[in-house]
Amino acid sequence: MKINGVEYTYDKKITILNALKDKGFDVPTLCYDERLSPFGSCRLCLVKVKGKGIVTSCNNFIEDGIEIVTDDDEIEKLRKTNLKLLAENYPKGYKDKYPYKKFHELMNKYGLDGYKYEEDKKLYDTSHPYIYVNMNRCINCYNCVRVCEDVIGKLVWRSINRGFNTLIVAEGDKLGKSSCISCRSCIDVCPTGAIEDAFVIKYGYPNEFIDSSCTLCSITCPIKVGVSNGKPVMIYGNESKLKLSASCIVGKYQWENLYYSNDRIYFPLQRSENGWKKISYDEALDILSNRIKETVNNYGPNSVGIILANRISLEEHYLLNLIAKDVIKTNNVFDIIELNYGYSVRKYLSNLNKEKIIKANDIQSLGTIIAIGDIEKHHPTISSILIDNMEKGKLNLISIDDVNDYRSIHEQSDFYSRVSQEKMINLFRALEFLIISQENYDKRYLEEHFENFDNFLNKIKSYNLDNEIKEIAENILKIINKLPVALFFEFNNYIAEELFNLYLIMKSFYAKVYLIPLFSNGNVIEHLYLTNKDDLNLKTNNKIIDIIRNLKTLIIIGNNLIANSINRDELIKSLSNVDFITEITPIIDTSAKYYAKLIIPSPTFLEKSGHYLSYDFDIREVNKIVNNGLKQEFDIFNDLIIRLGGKVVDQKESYNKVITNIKFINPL
Amino acid sequence: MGQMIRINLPKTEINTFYTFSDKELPEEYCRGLSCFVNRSEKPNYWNKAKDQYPRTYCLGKCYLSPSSTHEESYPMIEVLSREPILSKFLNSKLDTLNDYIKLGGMNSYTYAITSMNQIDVINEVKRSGLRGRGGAGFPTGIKWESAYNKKEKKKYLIVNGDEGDPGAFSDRFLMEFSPYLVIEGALIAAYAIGADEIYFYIRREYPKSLYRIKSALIEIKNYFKKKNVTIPKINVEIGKGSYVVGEETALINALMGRRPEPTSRPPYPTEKGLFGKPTVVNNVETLSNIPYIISNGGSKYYEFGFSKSRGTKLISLNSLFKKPGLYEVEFGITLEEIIKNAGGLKRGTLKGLLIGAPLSGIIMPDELNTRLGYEELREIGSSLGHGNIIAFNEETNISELLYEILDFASYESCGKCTPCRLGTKKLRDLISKGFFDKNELNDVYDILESLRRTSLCGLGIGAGEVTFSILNKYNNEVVK
Repeated sequence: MKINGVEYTYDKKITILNALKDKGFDVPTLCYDERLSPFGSCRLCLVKVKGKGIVTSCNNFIEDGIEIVTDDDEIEKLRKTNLKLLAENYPKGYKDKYPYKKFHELMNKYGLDGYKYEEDKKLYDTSHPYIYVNMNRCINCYNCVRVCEDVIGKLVWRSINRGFNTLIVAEGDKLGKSSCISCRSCIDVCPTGAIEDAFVIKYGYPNEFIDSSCTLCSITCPIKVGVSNGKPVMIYGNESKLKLSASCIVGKYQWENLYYSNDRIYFPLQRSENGWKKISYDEALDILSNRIKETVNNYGPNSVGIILANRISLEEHYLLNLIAKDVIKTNNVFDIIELNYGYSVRKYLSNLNKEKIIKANDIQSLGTIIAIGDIEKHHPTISSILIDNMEKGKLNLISIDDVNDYRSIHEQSDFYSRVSQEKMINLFRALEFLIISQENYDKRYLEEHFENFDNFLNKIKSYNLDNEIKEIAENILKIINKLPVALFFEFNNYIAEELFNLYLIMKSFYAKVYLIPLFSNGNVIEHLYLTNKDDLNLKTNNKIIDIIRNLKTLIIIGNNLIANSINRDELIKSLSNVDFITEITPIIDTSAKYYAKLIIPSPTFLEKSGHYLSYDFDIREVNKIVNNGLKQEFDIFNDLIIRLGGKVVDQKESYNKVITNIKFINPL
Repeated sequence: MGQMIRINLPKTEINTFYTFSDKELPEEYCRGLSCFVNRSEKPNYWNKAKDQYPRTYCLGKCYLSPSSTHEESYPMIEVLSREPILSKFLNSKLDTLNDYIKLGGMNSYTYAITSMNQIDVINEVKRSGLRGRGGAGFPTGIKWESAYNKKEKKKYLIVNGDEGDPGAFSDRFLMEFSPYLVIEGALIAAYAIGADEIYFYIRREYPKSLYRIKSALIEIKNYFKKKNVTIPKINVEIGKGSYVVGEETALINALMGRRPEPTSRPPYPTEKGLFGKPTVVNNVETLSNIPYIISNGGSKYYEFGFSKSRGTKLISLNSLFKKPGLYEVEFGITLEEIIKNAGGLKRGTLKGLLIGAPLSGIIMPDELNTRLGYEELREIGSSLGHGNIIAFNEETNISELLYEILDFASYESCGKCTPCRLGTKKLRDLISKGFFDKNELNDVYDILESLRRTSLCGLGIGAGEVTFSILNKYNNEVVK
């Protein structure tokens, strides 16, 4: 293909817009959004195609020998006319107040401004706690309608009337009374701010932006936090550090659910006969340390346990290990991932650990990706990166999961198959079978890695697989025509082992293959990688849930333990059997409400500082954005150490110690 | 994706789009262009049409306009072609399927399904040179072929009976006078592309067409049931008052229970149409030609017409002609001949012709030697449309005419794309004072260029074309 006379080649049929974006051309768009299928309503992404004239680039595909002109006077004039028509019907005053909005940026670029002086009061809607609506600023791109229906699966935003009178309205008139689930995707896709984050409106557009990292999933995206009058109101990804960083609605908006939650606590609480009693930090830590001492004296150190339900910083991990190993001397420190999957997850990771990890920024240099499991839900930034590279023709994308819901990755993959978990195992076996039957694989490699490879080989050959699965497997192999191959795997015990076999077999055939496990539920990967558990009693068949049941004192760190457990009923039984539970949490969650005797508030990631480990082993810095007197876990741990007769460690020392450990990361 | 399934969307969303979804009027007066240009004949009709809410655009009675719902007469049907391919059926009184069968009806379908492969049928249609009669003029055989080539099992055929262009009434009378012919054409088309389901979409302004198609379907179903022939499932949907539904992607959305907004192409309906399946949308008149092509051969049909426009066309002439009505002509006839055959104008002198109105360029009296054909009309800035010809005389002020056209365009715009939603309204507001000011011309040209070249569908493009054509041809009447 030729763009402005320069030749480019693509081996994939991608849209003109994606090809142009890939090559760094600036094409104005308003109704286009990566998550949505092309709609073609704004008529701005115009380009000239030789032989066809002016077309919209968002829904037209590149073809062999296509010649494209991206902007000449004629195209620019047409773009400006359409933009001007929108501007003439747009109220004055917003462009300069919120200059970062896509529509405002375009108005600035083309020297336009809103020309309307009067606003219709009826088009305001302030009934929703998180979402502020002013439809005077609507330019009818329908992005909100489409994201709500096509991506989220709700019918909250609807259009009524036709032509010039078309209006976007919330179902049932007021958004606050609609069936809105507050996902805030509509804010994210709105190019003008007609639908806006209520906190930005309430506290104002941020006057400063502070670097930090989001700890809500294991990608640990580098972010900028916008602060307005001391309140964090806006988060966006720091793309200079990681492309498409924090491109998800969780990182951009849903952190507000936690930060501004009505269930936040700012002082310790003790359960008493008359309900919760407000106490001081000192009182709380005295109670806790005395309780630990008592338990150790009466029942031995292993009667004290700690569960990590949320992530804590690397420094805090160092202290936690210190408390557990040196001060209390208990073996029973677990994280939610272990709680869900048991010891095998550590074994699994240690097998993989010898291999190179793929950094998020290097995904674009891969050839073929197989995404297994619901990555889009649990690691949305990863799936955005995969889709973006796929759309720009850089890699082949295969998506396999059992998700019975809409995901963009299904739409955007070269091949997508929804198979149940049982069938997924069969699919892996079919792939193994097909690869092995091609015969030119590295047998020596497999003999090294399988305990008894011939046995395994016979087993593969004996599987009786149905044709449907075989056909899927054949299709998948056809797509793997570019190396290296990476298997992004949203971890799940059930299929993990067979996937590992497949990984080894693929490696013996393609050589360049990577398996990257991702963890959802709580994302406590630091603990997995930083705590050595080779010598612990986990190897025995004791289930962690049973160990918890026999504890006398339990400290839960973080919130949503029960919600993130895959075995809730048993966990609840175990928790109700523990005499004394202390929860260190930013909000009162289910376990705090029903099982804890003592609650100590902890900060959210916006109120603390420290270092975190990303899934690809980068160290990311989290900075304190808001100082509201909340004690960090780090200080709480140190206070505990003093009270239990240990020695205080400062942030720097613990960071240095933990950093030396990271060089030898091995979960076993 | 969500948009591929039929869902019950909140009613207001759909109802507020259509003008007549939940309203009924005791009588309706037509606000179409044909009634506008002859409004002096019955001024009270036009006044009532202007006061009426919601508006009715074209009742398909342009041969007696200004028109209303409470009077009825039938148009004269003239044959100017060497053979009456369509008028043979229009001029016979077809009360029952038997009457149609006596004329050789249903033979083509029976022959096609018993003695021809699907691809044979498609090749025959390709050979005939038949092009879409709904206005776009896309070669029918090629459209069928691309749907036929799709591997999917489920395919649809949609019969577009939403003849909304003011001045046109050919589809109306094909459905009303010879519904069997239309259905036979549809059955052959469905067979050729491999569709096992057919949708008819008929506009609400044609209640009799709806009735005739529905009752003809019952007869045909019974007829084939007796002969033990399985025919596709056939559904009939009625319009609710929207011009833009006639656009094929909008029509597909309407049938799926969604707002009938056109969809950006690609993907084309033959790739991803109704419920996401390959779909062919054919106009009523296009399909009416199919039985002839199958029984007489594509090359026989190709003998009629000229250049790239083959076969015959039904031309609708408005009430300002001495002899208004339907004329079956061969492509290649000059506009002058058509006017001569219609006896010229009833009164006044001819000031211009609107062909394919309202959204195509105007033809001036000195362009009447143009021959009727898709490309030939395009060359003089006009288009064939439904073959609807509205003549107007000196009573019509061009600025007022342009206002009516732009008012129509902005009233019927679906509002999806920027230029059409905002541009048609802006142009209408500018011309509402009776002229374009010289200082406004830059703006006007910017907008009409953007309409012509960047609109999503034909409505916006046409609105730009007609403004452009008027500024070119009648500049001193509209610019001050």
